[in-house]
Amino acid sequence: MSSTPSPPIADPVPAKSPALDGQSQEDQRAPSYREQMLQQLAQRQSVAPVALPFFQERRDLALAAFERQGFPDRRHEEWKYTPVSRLTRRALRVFSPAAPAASGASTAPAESARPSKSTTQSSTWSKWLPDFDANRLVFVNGMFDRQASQILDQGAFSIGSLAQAMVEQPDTVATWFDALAAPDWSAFAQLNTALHQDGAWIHVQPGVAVPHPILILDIAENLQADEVLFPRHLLVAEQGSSVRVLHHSLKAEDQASRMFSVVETFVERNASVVLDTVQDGGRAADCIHHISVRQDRDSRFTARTFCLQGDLIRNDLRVRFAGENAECHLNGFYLAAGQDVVDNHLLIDHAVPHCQSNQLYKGIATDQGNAVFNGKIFVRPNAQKTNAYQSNKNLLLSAEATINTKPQLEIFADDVKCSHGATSGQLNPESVFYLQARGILEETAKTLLLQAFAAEVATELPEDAFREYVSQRLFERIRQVLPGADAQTS
Amino acid sequence: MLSIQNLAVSIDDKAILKDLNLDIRPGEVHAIMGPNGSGKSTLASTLAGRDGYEVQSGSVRFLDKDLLDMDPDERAREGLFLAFQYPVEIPGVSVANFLKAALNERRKHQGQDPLDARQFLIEAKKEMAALEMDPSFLSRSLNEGFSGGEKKRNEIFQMAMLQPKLAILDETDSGLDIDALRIVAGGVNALRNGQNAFLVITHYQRLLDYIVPDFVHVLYDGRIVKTGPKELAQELEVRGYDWIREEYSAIA
Ligand SMILES: Nc1ncnc2c1ncn2[C@@H]1O[C@H](COP(=O)(O)OP(=O)(O)O)[C@@H](O)[C@H]1O
Ligand SMILES: [Mg+2]
Repeated sequence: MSSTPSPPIADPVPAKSPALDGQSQEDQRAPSYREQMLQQLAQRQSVAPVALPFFQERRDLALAAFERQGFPDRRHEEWKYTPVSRLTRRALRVFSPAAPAASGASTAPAESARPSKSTTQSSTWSKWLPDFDANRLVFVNGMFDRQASQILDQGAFSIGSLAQAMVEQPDTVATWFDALAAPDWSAFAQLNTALHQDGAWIHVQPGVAVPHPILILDIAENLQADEVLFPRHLLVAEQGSSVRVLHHSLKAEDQASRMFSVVETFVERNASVVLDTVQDGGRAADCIHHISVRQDRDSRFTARTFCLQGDLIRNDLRVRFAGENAECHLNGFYLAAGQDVVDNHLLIDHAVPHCQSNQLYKGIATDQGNAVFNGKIFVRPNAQKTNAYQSNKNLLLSAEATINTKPQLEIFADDVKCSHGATSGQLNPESVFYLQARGILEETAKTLLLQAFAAEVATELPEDAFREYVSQRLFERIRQVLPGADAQTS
Repeated sequence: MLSIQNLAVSIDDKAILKDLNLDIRPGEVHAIMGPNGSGKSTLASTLAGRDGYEVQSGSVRFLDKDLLDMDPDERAREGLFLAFQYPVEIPGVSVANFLKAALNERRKHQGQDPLDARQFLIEAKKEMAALEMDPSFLSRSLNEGFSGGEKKRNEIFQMAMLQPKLAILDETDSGLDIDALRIVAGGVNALRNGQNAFLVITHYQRLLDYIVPDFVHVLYDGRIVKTGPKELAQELEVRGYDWIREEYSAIA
């Protein structure tokens, strides 16, 4: 894979501005990353005042960690196939809402905001608002958009802005915030901790089920070429609670966007969390997304990740079993077309006995697209009676597309059931012929088959408008990427 | 309707069909019989347009068009139907979705409006009832996990829905018990209208008790070596193919 041929973007940032250049220039730069970042932090603080020294400490620590490790390159085993240079050759600057994109930025607490459902949206992204009942948290360029958001449910839970929660209930937030950070978090995740703007704060008290799903919309809109978004979401399901979250990140305009996001998720004892993620940034969208999950005893966690469009999508999804008898299902679908790179790295840490993990990832690579799947299952010496399953299935639609799939099983316990399988192949010509022999055009036949391939992951979504939306968009993308496929399927 | 002249077909440079001639007129039922490996399925696949079947010489005209010049889907839209000997399993594509897509391609080709979901369902259920198929088949993945008999019935169901002008049945009887055979044959006979035609490939005469052919052809070594009335099928059933072999080697 060569890197994209997109023209280098002239650095629009004045020399004094806190811009961070790519690693290629690292050596020649006089001011350290740290200085630059501190300047950016100062800028950030005007937006999000620090209520507790703890939060500042976390930023500082993360910054120091970032400073030590710098951006990864292809020599780094975990980043072998990810063209990080696509992200770092442009200057990096934290988005600053000089002219706030969110018109309704007020100081009232998020929890009290109850805009009526009929609020009409003039923004270009309003078409993405779902037509089913959901609690909705909208972030435009990382800033909480209170007007576009809506909270339907009331009860023993908080659903709102993290930045605001840090001010209003700092001690509660500090119990969880950044608690899953590890030295091996990537430079991008570290940067997120250091520079994060806002994000969702979802905190469900013990025994409570949030009635409606919670939709998090992360929208990039009209970014400057050097601006980067750092959404940071924190999701806590306390003992015996349950919540379903739909996280949708997208881009409203054609401009390039870069998003380095982090979701921390705590699934406490006997709690249940579903986290569905849709990455649909359109062209020229880069998304480096990190999800860390901790599961306590008897908990259930389901993640479904749909990588529909983006120049560079890199997902790190990490689940750590911290209590016995917990179970997770990590499913995903990805599509790499054009010169897109879609890279899904999973890490499941079976740190305790009697847990079960399941992974099903399916992907399609076409044109010169490159899809990467790396599923690491780590079973520690005491984690007996672990069940771990992994399946990765790929379809290659062109000779120049590539798939790099790698199961990585590191098993240090002896009473363990582990299975994994990876396939890469083409569409079965016999199947295409069968459909053609009934009068279906070749391209339509292929579309039907690809949609069927992808649908396995989407059909697991609960029957509602979100599933409808995801399936529609999924099928639309498949039609788009098939050469010469403008045929409709019915 | 169908006119095959001097057709020679090879697979991987191996000659399978050699100088095959066959004419089918509207309303006729032709049976092709012959020992295993004689080229019956090769003929069916060549007519349907499967990849890898290289036509070395000869011509095939279908409704006064050059059949061999058309893509497989075009042939189907023109009214050719092949009931597969081994229908492919296609996970994730439901019978209903698939058939609706196929039917509407066909209708579009004929300048008709597409069927809406309700009309489709009414039609489909009617045909399924006639074939004693459970309507739940519609929501199942195409052929996936179907028994041998269910697959064959599903082929006939598709044929009934698509109303082809020429249907080629490749060993549709194999794997069917006598009841299923009767049902399937009933489906074929119900479709006969004097305008359409059938090419029934079979190994056994049994099916021809129900679908009575106008002509029986014996395919041997890539050629039609004998053609006769329906009684020829009975003779083959009694005498086997050895006498054909002997007769053939005597001429060849
Ligand atoms: N895909 C193939 N590759 C090579 N040879 C084939 C292939 N398909 C069929 N044949 C050969 O062609 C001949 C005719 O096969 P077929 O048409 O299936 O016969 P029938 O249907 O009469 O039993 C056989 O010798 C068979 O081995
Ligand atoms: Mg055969």
